[in-house]
Amino acid sequence: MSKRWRWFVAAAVVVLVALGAWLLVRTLTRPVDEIWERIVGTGVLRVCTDPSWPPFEFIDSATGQIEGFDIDLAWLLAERMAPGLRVQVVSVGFDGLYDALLAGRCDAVLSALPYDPLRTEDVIYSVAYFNAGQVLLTRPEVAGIEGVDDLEGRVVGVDWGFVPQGDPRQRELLRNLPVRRYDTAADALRALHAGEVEAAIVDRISALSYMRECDGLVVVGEPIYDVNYIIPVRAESSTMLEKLDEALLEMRQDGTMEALQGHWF
Amino acid sequence: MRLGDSLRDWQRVARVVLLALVCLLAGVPGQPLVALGPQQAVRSVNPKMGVHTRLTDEVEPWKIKRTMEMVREMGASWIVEYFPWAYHEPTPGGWNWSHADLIVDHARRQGLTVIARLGMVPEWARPDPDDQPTTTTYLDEEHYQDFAEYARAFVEHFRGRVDHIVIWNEPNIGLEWGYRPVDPEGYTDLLRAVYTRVKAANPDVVVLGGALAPTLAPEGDPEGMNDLIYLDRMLAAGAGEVMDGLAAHAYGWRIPPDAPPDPEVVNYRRTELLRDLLVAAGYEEMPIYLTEGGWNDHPRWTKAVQPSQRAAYTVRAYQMALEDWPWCEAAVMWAFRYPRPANSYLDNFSFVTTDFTPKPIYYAVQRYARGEEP
Repeated sequence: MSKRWRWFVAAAVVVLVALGAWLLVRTLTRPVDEIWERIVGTGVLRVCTDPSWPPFEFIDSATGQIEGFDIDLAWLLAERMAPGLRVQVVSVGFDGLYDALLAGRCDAVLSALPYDPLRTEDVIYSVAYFNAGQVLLTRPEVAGIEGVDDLEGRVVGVDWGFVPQGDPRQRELLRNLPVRRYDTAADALRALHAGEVEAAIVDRISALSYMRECDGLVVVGEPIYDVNYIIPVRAESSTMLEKLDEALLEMRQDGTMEALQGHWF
Repeated sequence: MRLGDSLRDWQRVARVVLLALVCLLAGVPGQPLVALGPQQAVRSVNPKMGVHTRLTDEVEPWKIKRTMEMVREMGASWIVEYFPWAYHEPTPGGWNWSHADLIVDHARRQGLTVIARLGMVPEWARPDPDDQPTTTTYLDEEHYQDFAEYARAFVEHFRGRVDHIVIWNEPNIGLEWGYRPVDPEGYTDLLRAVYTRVKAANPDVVVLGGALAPTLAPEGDPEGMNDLIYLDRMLAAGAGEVMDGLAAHAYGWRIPPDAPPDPEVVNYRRTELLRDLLVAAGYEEMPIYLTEGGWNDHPRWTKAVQPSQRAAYTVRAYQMALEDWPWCEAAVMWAFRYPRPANSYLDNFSFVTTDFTPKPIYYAVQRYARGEEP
């Protein structure tokens, strides 16, 4: 072996040893997620929710129990995160959800909560599990509508609270559309169904709920504006977040998430 | 001396003078980019109309000004705005009123009367988060005087500009009481601490107590306490002597404003039950200020009504405050506009969207304020 090679091998060994030492130190000094340890220890995952938002969370008038998409999701996640883990639902008003989490009244929030960049100093978020943003719908027989760009000159139904969303170009385009406003998103969709308008823009929950009851409308393309529902946990819950994300991604891949949506929408 | 030398000398002098002038101008304080504008006045058939603004986290001055202009144009004379202690005294004694000044000055220039809601505990007045995680609504008794000092500094700074303050918000629910068991007697102690300090600094300020959340929660419920029970206990603890008026929250949920008051129901006229408690305790002269209230028109929220109902109910509620409630000084509805969308049902409490587009309720209220047909 030449002298140059010996130097090269020695340098490689030094680099590998340093890397190994760094990994070892990192693993040993990683802060323990005490919240996750308590959850595993007690076998209970406490989830805060505001049960006033069907079909995500609501009080079943027959049983008095809190039910909905998010509650089912909580149980499915719990089972994947640690088999046998039970879910305890904590009812909290919507504007108190973050405070309840930070004050330790629950371990996670599952309450159709949209991602909020201003909260990222206090909490860490899971990957998104549902997109509730605006979608464009039309009837299958209406030709030539494949996206927002095809709406120019078309009559579009929206609800009274409609606000153009998206990038500046899209907002400008939507602002200049001859929109017809209806009392609710469902009324806008009924108008589309009845042929009063050629397309409608509503939030995805309203669209899915309507389409569950009535055939004859189609969603065109992806949501034109994203409102992603996520699960916040406290900033120190790093292990718990890893497990949550792992379970959510797994559920997305194996079709569980789609089946859950199919059940509620 | 040649002519060229003389010219160069003059040029040098001119440069020095120009530089001095630039330096001088740089030192002159600039005018604000968003001017207050001329003094305006509200025109309305109902001087009790008000709306809660949400400008605490609104950074851009033009949005503050636009908000106040639109409130005036809608015909509302009163606003309630939140002035967080944590923002204005981030370190003990380190006052910063710049943003609050902006809000108050724009409101006054539009002819609006400001009711200031005081709350939000700074980190320095709370336990060390390593020992005990707390929220911004957690205030233990040893810091009551610190909060009272904030209130004193506030009324002194805004003397002649803000004459009404609300002490705390919804102390009868756990969320607003730092997730401790709610405590009407403890809240009365807080009210007393503030009242004494504030009145010594400015006897003309109207101190409002209560601002209770309308709720049917029974005593012992960890989430909160029935507002009627809570007020009764406040009054028994002497709250009537340390407040000049009662702040009340009057939400209608799905019930029309005319529906009769009932202790077992949360509705707009529940306010009359609060009034009954004041009268029974001997405070018949004490006014009530509605500092929050109204209806929501989200299509999926379980406590919401249709947008057209919301508009009609709100107009009727303003009219009832004017006609039927002589003891009610102001009827302030929640909420004029949010600085950013919540992407939830909360957005459907607002009168205008985040980008200042008026909702139908805005126009309905405006027509009413102008005395036009609905």
